[in-house]
Amino acid sequence: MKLMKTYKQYWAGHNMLMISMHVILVSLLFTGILIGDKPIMCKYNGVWHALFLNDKPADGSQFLLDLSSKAQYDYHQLKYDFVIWPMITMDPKRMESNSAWLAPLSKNQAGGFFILGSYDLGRDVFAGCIYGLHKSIKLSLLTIFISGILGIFIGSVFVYQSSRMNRISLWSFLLICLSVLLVLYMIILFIEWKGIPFQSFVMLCLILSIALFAGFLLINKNPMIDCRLDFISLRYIEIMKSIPLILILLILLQIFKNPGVIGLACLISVVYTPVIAKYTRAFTSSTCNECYIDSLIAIGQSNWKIYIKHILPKVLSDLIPILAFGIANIILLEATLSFLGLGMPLEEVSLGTMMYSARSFPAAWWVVVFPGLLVFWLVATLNAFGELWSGRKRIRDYEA
Amino acid sequence: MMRFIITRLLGGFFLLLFILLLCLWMVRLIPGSYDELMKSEENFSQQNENENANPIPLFYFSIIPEKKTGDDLFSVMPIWQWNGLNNEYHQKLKSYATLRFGKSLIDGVEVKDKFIHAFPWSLILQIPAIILVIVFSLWIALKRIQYPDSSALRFIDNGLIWLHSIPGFWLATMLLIFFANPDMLQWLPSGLPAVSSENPFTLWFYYPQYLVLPLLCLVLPALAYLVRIIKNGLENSLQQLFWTRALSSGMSVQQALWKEAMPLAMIPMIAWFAGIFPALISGSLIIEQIFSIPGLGRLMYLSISMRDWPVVQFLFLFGSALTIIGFIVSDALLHYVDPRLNQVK
Repeated sequence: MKLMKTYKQYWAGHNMLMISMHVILVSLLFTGILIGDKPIMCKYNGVWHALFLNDKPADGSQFLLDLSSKAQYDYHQLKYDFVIWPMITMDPKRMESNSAWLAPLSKNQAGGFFILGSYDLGRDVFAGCIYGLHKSIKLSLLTIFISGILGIFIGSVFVYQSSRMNRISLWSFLLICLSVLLVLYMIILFIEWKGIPFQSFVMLCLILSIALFAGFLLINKNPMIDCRLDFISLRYIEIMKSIPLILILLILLQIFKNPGVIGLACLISVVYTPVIAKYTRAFTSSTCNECYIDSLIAIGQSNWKIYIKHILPKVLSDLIPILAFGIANIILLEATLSFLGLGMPLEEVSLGTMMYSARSFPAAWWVVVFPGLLVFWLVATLNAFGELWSGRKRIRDYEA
Repeated sequence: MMRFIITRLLGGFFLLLFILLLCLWMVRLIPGSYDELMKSEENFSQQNENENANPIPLFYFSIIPEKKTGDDLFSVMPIWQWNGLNNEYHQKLKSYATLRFGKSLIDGVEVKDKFIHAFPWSLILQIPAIILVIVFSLWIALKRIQYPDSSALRFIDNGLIWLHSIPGFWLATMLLIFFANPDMLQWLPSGLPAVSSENPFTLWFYYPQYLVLPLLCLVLPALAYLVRIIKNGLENSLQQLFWTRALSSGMSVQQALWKEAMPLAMIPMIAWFAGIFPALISGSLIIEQIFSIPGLGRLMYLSISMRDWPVVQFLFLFGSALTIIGFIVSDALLHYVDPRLNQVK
């Protein structure tokens, strides 16, 4: 109950923002249930099928057989014992060849309406918008997850090492250098060969883990040297910052042509990791100089305990607005790339590809206006959320 | 100060050498070449010509082994191989040092000429855009601070916050659809095909209507961002003690704003300033693509998709050099605006 009250208090005075954030959450979680052309669950010939879990019925079942022979994959023509349809029965990928580029509120062949019109090959704009919204949010969350993990690792571990535990033994320093070189070599191999053979991967992992284990054993052995590994993250950020972001992305997208959602997320996270690493570096180095870290060391806490229990949570809470702005930026970036015809493949339905298809038919304003408005709404909401969070934080810091 | 700039320039030079290597390596990884693209278009049958069977090595040494098909455990062990001076990196460096940038694969035109032809087109859009952004944002932010109760200014301010979230390409497409479309309103011409052979610098005098929409698309999103950071900076400096001191010493508000509050508020603006140099290539890529303006961004986009490597390599290096110069300039400006940085060693 108390949690509920705090939650309500958090959104006080920001009703529009609260509604928008909840709509984003709903569309992320429940799009498969809200919209689609196949039943969520059905009982056919006495057998239950959970279609929200799979793309199509299980192989060899009577349902699939009848679907392909009697109904030509149209789920509506079969007779079910029991069926739950999605709330809106429409498919973003269904094409009606006669009704391409129809204006909003014109009739479609199934007897309903194209609420927001149709675009190339007679696909529905409204269904595409809802589906594309889901896809943009999914892609950007995936990207921010990958680049967040990498960026926080690169940005915080090396800075903490060089500010608090810079006396390490020579042997473990050599092992760290070896591991870093190995990781670099593995990345280069992976890109050069477009994936490396499995057994070789196992061998490299073995070498890395032996190096790590030996490093832990040798951590307090003489001779000790003063070694600050901060320069690794510094150089990394400097190199990545000095190349224009969109140029790297353009070239990467030519190397890995037409990646799927996961591939695109990995590619965008290549260029977004340094951004997060930069902020993490700044936050970590300011946190490391706080007095309470000194007092923790004086008590005798171990270094890694301090890092995990005291530094990482502080850095993460500082990073939340940055991550929210990051999600907004990634949504923009993906839409831009797809609009140039580079991001998502054209058969896929996303907000950017819908607008890209409108370039061949400029009179169809509805194909540009509505997906663009959705992107605008998404980005504005996420920016406002980041703004709200950082404002609240500023007030909290001021009061404390 | 001089020493600072020289060390930064040297560091930037070595960084550029590394970026050249990175660029050559990445370009090598892209499948397909210009010849192959042409062949597939003309349906040539002889695709097994082994022209690139033995390409010259990338760098002075190579450590990556040949790819074997077997799942040998040791097939990924690095093999050291010395390549000598006959490598791509050395040749590129030699030709760049003598200012020879190679010829385009598509039409055999020198890369230098292509660059000289495209560069003014980017300049005539970017320079007015930057001037307009700085002037307008300073004006709006200062007025907003001086008259916090004005409803018109508050309206502009709120509108700018919304404008910050608008996708640039969407704004451009919407403007094209609603104001340069024979089906809707044709107030302005849509593209540049009729005047692209003109001298770009005289375009502002004779055909300004062609540049209004692209300029609007460049100015509006940047304006929104800059007004916000300047306004936040000014509000921050109005809470400092030196502001009270400045007012009590008898300065007028206008004078105090410019002399005392502005330098502190300028610091985030200078960080933004570092980004406008690379914007010559990357910032206007989408705008140039939509309005078909033959500038640097469009040249980059077209030559990547046509596999025209000499142009891509040169523009990649040029963009990186501009970014590095931007950082050096903004750091030098920071030292000028914020003298505290000079005292801390």
